[in-house]
Amino acid sequence: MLDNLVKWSRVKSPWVLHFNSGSCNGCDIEILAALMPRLDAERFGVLLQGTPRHADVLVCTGPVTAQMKDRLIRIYEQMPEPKFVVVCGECGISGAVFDGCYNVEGGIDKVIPVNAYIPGCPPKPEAILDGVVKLLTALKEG
Amino acid sequence: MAEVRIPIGPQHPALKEPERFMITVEGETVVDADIKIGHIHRGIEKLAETKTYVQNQYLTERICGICSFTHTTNFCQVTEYVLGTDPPPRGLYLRTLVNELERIHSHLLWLGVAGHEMGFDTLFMYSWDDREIVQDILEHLTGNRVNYAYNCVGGVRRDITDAQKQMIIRGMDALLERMDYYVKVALNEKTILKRTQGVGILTTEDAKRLCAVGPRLRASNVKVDVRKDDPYAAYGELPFEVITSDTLDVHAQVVVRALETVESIKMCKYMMQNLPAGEIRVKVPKKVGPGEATSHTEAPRGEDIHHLRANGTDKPERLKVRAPTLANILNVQHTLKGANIADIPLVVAGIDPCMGCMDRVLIIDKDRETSKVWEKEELRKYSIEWYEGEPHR
Amino acid sequence: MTTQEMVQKLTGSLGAMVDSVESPKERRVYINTKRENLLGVVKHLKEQYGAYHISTITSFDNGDELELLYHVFIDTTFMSIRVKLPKSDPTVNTITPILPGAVLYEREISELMGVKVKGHPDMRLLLLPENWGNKGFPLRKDWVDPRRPEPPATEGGDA
Repeated sequence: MLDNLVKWSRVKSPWVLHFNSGSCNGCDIEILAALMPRLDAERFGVLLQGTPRHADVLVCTGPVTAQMKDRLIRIYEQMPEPKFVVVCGECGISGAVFDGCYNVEGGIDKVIPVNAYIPGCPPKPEAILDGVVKLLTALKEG
Repeated sequence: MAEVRIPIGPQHPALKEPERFMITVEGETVVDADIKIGHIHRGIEKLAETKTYVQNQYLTERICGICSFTHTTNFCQVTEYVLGTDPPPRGLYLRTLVNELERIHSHLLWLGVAGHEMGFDTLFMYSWDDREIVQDILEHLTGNRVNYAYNCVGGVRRDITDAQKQMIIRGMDALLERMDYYVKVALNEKTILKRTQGVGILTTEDAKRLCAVGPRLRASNVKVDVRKDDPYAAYGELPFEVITSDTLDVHAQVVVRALETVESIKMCKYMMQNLPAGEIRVKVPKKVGPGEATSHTEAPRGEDIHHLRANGTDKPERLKVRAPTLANILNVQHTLKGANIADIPLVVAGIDPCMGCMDRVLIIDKDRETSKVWEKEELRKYSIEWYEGEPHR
Repeated sequence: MTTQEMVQKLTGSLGAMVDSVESPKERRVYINTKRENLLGVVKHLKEQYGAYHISTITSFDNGDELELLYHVFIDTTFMSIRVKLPKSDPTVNTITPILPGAVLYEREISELMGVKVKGHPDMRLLLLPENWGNKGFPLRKDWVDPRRPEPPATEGGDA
């Protein structure tokens, strides 16, 4: 992992937009914990942005509820190219426990194209960082 | 003066769910506030009717990620009430222990987020780092940092070793020292005082009338806490104080939460020093009922209530859940009236909403017929700069 | 006052306004009444017993009738007021003039279970999306998700 991180930190520092499309917040607090002093993703250049227009990577959580579906699409369209989507947590992958609920679409890839999936309920902050690193390494290599 | 309506649903970099506010302002003052929720309405109550009681233990955990243990405690408790069984004392103590650990981590999380809202990012970093002490304990005890899968109908699933007990006592001692610093900061730090004193005042009468819950209610000087009024789990045997404050504003909420965290730490230590021996769970039948019961707990955010009706099968007939933030929405709408635009982030963060904000701030200037989109980050920075420019506060 | 004493006191003071008062457990009291008497019972609890906090309103679908449980918490006891409404006419009066905190819970039972609350100040959808239209009331037993007519198969699990 260390080699990947060193390589990645030379490539670029990704600006990340975090979007919650109906999640219970479990994944969201672990994403934030990845930025806190224990793991401190910011030393690798990962910066949390407030707007899609400045973001490279969209980190998305939650099963897509009916209310959030249009907003998710709008946010995705507002991001400039090249853009990548990372889905964090089981809910975003398949709907997890909420699959079948009347207000839930299912996985995030039913709504927007996804580049990477980080499984877990919720995934640990180390796993989240690992997932983002894997994505960026894969992109750098082609 | 011209009225301007602002829909706010900014994006919150720190967690949470989306919600939308429609704020009507005159100049800098909020005249009216309307809140639209439901962005994470998933339909859990309906789904719970198609799952067995065992599956529902895991479903209710995911109602909310921060107070997940409260929801499972409530669900297991209400099922135990219908069955008429009581978990053994050791199981109740362990359940109470994890409940209090969750309260500590939730309040520290909130302290950091509130600090971030004020521009006090150092507090954000410090409190989330100290929170890791609790997360480590939880991971040792239950296997996970969030969503512990520790509760079951009839007790808890894992026992605690002596080594873990010692680890918890050491962790609590370390946290108690850190809390000295946080309480001092909460009471004396100029940034916090400037941003929270006199902001978001909710009178005792209004708090009761609007059915506020949790620290918001206690910060309005109402001494109500489910753990004392309707003791559940092991709370009937634990010595602790219910913290209230009479300043009624957001600062009161900061102080109440900081002091509640200290109480929780002391309770955890007490439980480790007085843990009864014995079994941690009793076996319960797969089919429950018929019968019905109501159970409520004091989640970190306030009163959380579950009502269960069972029909004798292995699936519930009806499960009703009302999480605490829904009860606090009314008083947020009320306290926003008369606030400055710059106070909006803190008044909303004050109730510790288990919600986040997703949309944009769209400012519609009726006079000039123009509209401008504000991001939550912009609103947060605007409020920080507004306060830096304010001479008298 | 013990819960049993509370039950006796309530039965006495509420009189003809209620059908029965029962307590299956400590600190839990159920007051069964008819919908015409609902406001009277709530007012009585507020004026004589100091009630101000309504925790939530639970709704049930019992086939040909809807049942509502108003959970009012007073000091240390849950007083749950039960009313039953025929499905053919599921109307009930709003209690917001007496307990303003019930305003959001009445919106919730109206959109999810189809209870018509008379006199409510604001009947907009609370939790369901704005484009829900007339897809029905999701919490009713006979409601079927139009996207998925077959419910997902479930199997029991071990704890």
